[in-house]
Amino acid sequence: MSEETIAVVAVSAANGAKGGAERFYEGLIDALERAGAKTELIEVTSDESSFEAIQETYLRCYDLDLSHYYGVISTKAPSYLVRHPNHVCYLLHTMRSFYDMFETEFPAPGEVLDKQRDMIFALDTAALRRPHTKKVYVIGKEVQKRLAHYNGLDSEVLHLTTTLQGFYCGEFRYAFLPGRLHRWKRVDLIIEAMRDVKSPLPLLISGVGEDEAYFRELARTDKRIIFLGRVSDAQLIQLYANALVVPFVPVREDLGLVTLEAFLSRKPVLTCVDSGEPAHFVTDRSNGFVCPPEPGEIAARLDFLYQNVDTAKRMGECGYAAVEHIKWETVASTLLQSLGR
Amino acid sequence: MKTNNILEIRLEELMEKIRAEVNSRKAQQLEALGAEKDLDELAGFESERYDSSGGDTDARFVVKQQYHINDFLQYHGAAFIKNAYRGILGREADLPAYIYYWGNLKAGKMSKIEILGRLRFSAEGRAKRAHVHGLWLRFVVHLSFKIPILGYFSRLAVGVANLPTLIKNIEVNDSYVRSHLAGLQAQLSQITKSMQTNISEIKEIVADLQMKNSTSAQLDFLASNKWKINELEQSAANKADRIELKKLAAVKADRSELESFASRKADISFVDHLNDSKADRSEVQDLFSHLTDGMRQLHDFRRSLVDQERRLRILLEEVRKNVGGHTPEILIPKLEAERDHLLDALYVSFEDRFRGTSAEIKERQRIYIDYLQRSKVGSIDSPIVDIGCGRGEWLELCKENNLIVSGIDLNRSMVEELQQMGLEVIEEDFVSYLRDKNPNTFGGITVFHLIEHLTLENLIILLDEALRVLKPNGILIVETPNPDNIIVGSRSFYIDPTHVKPIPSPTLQYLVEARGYVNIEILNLNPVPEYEREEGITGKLCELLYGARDYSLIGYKP
Repeated sequence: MSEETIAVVAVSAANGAKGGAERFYEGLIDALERAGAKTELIEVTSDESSFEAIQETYLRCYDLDLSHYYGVISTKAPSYLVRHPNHVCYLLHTMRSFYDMFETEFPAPGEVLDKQRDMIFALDTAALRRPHTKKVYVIGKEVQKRLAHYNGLDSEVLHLTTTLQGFYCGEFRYAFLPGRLHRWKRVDLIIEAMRDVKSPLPLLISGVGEDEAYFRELARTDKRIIFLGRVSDAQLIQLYANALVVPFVPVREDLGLVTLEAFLSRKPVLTCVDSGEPAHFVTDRSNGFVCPPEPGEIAARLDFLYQNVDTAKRMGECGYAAVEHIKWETVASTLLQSLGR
Repeated sequence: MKTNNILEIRLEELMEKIRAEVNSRKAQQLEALGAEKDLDELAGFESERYDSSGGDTDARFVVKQQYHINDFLQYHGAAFIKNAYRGILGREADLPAYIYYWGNLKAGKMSKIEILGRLRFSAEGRAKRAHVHGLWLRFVVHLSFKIPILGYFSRLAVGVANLPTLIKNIEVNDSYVRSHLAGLQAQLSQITKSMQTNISEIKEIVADLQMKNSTSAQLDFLASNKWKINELEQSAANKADRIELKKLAAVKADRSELESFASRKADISFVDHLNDSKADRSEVQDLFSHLTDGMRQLHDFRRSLVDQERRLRILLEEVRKNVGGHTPEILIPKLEAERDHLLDALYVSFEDRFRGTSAEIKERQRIYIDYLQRSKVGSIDSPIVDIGCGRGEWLELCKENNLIVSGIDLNRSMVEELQQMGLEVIEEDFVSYLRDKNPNTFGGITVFHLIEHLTLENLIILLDEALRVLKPNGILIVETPNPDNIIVGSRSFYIDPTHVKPIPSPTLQYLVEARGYVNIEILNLNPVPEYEREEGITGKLCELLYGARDYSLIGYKP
């Protein structure tokens, strides 16, 4: 029986942190099963607390025995180390702290860290090319660009979408920013922009995260900014539905389902030129704004939308048209095809 | 193919290198934990690792043919038991035996001699025939201690005979302990000393930090974001010069000003309009709003044009049919009926603009599904009819919940749109529609935002006819704007020019009860959301301004 089965290798954090990746696995497995493929999720625990722990995680993936599966789909670092003749990778991301976030995370790296970085580059590059991996798909242009830049590898973009359903469009009342409260999401940029926003436009922020206290402190004096904490899926959909605009300005984001979810709710998205994937989805002044990462620039656009709700509506419709066609079914059929099914 | 193989080998090489590193690290960790680890893990006696001080020395134990008893006695605790097994039985101690001897040894129930003897003179020990010099006699003497009464004398005799040796041992022991104590004291004073230096270092760091905190408070004015502060703090720590720091910050501020200036300059097309010139900005805004207004108007025009065309065609057809023979008089009622529909397309556009989006209305109406399901209506034999179904959100919602529903509306544009969507809708006046129906036909009748368009006379007709065609226990749901909210009562209600007059809920409740409905319930709905309210307005005023903007009445046929 299991000769027909496809293994999806997932990587879960040792500290139990959950995020977009868990939703991703859920969506992928669900889509593969709906396409008629028997699928099993193999979870590898990843400890990134030290370089030694990272080495062990790489080794654990390398030593996985999946020979009795028909094919293997690996996902994020370092699941693609797995050895299997019929192996494709649908890459979420490599370990970002060694790649594009290296300079940010280690301002003064030193020789040891540089060596470790080279080691990770060499391992990833060797593992993500033939014959170790038959084909590499990536979740967006940002990851594709990074893979070409750091590893010199070609890949194909395969867009995925949210697993949430039931998005609708209500009124246009406030700016809404959902997601993990982490410095890489640059929530502080929006909070600072609010200082220059003259309209009585509320900013609702949902979600929790490691930098929550800092953001709350930053927003303490502005009564228009409201932190909602963790919200349910139903609440999330409702919050999107009545937003005027979704300002989403992360640093070089890989994917950002927020953009897709906002567009599915027919809302314009405001993002920045250096925000990564969202900047590929948003077309400036068509379905939102792509502006420099400056509080003043963002504020001017928020004020503009507040005074021009009809424009916001029109932009939201354009956004919907841009993402409507993205379906999990396409992801599943493409992956299965490249596995020879 | 060849290069591919080389690459694969390279990956293999890398991974094997990592494997070697990981393994050697693990081995080191194991060693650090001590050789007792395996047994301890099995027995779960984690704490005993520290008792077995012989942990290191037992590695030096050498297995040989002949032993002196002192070869074993020099070990203590767990190491003693392990070595006794290795030496006498030539194997590792099994777990139950290990726990048994270890427990007895700790409790003082068995001496080392006794354990050695028991091992040596067990069946297994006799078979192995390991030679332990000096064991036999001592073992026999130790065993004799355990014989009642005689044991006492035996212990006494051995004690007296051993007295000189014991005294000597005590002296040796004493000097050993003293030298150990001296060593410990030296170590302790060293630790105290290093702790003191640590404390003074920590004090320095704290003082340093406090100083930095005061500077960073000043920096807050200059640098607006966290990482910039960190950078500045670092350079401050390096140079320890406050003037330098201020200069740096000033330069930073200048630079960011320059940068933003430059970026503004760079983006001339749109950002200029938005940021630099207020006049230009409003011009752009005006253009935007004109454009969208224009587009909406265009859309509306198209809709009413299509409508007019169609009506004209119908009239022409009528005229053509009636050419010759008939007098033009019979066309008059038809013409008049068509005139009633002239404003239909306008009203659709109106609803699109003011009533709220379809999705949201559907969301609000979801609460009634529960009422219908509880009343067990919506099946083939107790269908629901929606009077004034408008854009059909409610019909769709019922259909999604597998309820049998049909709708009537006078607005032909809407009716045709809904029919195209596959919904069962007819264009008819509710008065004639209901009068044509047999009594006890419907399980439920719903009337959303219609009664405010009716005169009192027509409202009474609606209530009476609905009661007649409802089955016993059938449900009536009526929703209308709530004038209890003064904004609704004074303004919002009149935004729709086809509204007649607002109906407060007590009025409606009285009318419905008076016409024979029972179990009346009023639901206050759709208050202004929290974040749209002005702060500081509470109590009755809050209720008046931000309270329910709609209400619904639910009643039943007895």
